Amino acid sequence: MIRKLNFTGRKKIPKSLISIELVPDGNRQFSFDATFNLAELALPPDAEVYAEAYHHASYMRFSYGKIGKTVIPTERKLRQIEPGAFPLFRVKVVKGGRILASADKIVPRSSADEPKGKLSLLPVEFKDLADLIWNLDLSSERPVLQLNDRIDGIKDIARIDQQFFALVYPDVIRQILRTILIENDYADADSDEDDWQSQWLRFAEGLPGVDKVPSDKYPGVEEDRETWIEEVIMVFCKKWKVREKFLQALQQEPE
Amino acid sequence: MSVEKVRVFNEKGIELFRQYLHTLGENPKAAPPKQLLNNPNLCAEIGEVVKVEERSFTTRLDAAQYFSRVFSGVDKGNVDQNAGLWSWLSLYYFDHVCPSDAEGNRAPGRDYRHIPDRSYRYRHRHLLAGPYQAFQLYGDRAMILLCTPVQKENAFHHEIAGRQILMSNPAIMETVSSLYLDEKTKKPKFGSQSHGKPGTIRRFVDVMQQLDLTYDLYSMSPEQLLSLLPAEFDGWKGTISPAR
Repeated sequence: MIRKLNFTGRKKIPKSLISIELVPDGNRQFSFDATFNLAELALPPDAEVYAEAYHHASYMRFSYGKIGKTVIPTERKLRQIEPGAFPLFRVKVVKGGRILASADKIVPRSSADEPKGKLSLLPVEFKDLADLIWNLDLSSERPVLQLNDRIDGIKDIARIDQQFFALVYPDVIRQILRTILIENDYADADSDEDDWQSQWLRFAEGLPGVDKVPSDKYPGVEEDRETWIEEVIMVFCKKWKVREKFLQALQQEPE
Repeated sequence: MSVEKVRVFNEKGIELFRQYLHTLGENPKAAPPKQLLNNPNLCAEIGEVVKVEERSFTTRLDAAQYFSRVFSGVDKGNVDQNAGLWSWLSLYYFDHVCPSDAEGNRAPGRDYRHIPDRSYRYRHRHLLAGPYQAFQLYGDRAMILLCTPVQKENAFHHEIAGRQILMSNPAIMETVSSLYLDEKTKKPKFGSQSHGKPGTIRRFVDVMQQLDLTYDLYSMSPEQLLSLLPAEFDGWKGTISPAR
């Protein structure tokens, strides 16, 4: 396990103390609602609280007043974030220009339906993908499933359509695990609870009957990792009865 | 002057353009396949009627200003990350983004210079889209990033544009200009892009990334940022061009 040392003196804000929810405006842009429960961190009451949204080089910052008296900003529309893009957030507590506490790479809930405190491994964003139905964007801070907003009802299709689930999600998982284990040569599931790669490896290891990821470096480890990935996909499909549900959905289709 | 409706390559159009770029590796005198530009099987007009003209650009800033005017009435979502659009424009302006040398040879470099790459490391490296995106954020204040000829990316754009914490912070951009831009020539000060020397742009990036762990850089003014810099940067403050 890689241990990370913090020499900065800055506190880490547990993500369980932060809740951020995106609110779509119907025009491919979002505003957001955020609540913080920072009392237990014993920070100075006059320290300032900021929430920052970012996606690639686009960035917006919102002041939430002070620890002793937080003030929710009235304007929370993410105007400067690329339309349709799924932003991440960071929260900072600052005094005299110094960061006293922070949390970064916060994945907001994309709807009120998502339970609070549950980690969203795969944020979804809607954008014009021309003739593609979906795309896995691996170029951002963490993997994002992009869906083509030219397709009416794509949000519901992705949420409840069993054929979509069967055809898309196993491949999404395969692409993500290959990126982590083969391209990035990263195999540490335990090092950092906030690192998206570790989160995905822990998700895979948590599937029933899946062994620990081959993390050592030895000749042939790449082949072993490829095999492990395929095992994960098989277990995922078995757990979610992918074939059975796919066939059911086919039979329900109108002639 | 030739004027053309802007089009967007589909996957096939992009692929044929990519094949041409690879052809140049074997045959550097191969002529650009301009016939692809208006082949209806390979590209479509952008939603709004938008036109470009055959022209040259003095700098990357000049190109960014031009495309900013061209796309001023177009939904940003159809422009910023549109790989088909920027690939089409690269081929249209190929004599500028990949000029031939005295022998008529062209050296296009990596594909992402001409066909936008979605990856975090390379998305800003497209020779036309990269400057356009920097200009969208900073306008003429992006001068230090975009003062080179259109086919040449300088170290400032290379080092800054790919890093979110730097590129999204106006105070950092202003600090970079204040340290390294020669206001007289509107070009980077001599030596500011060198490797392995104290106080150059590469060291600035290292130091800012370190300071970002401790300081709230977004709340700081350029003067405050300058005051945080170690002594190795003193030679760049307020100088026109340091001693060679």
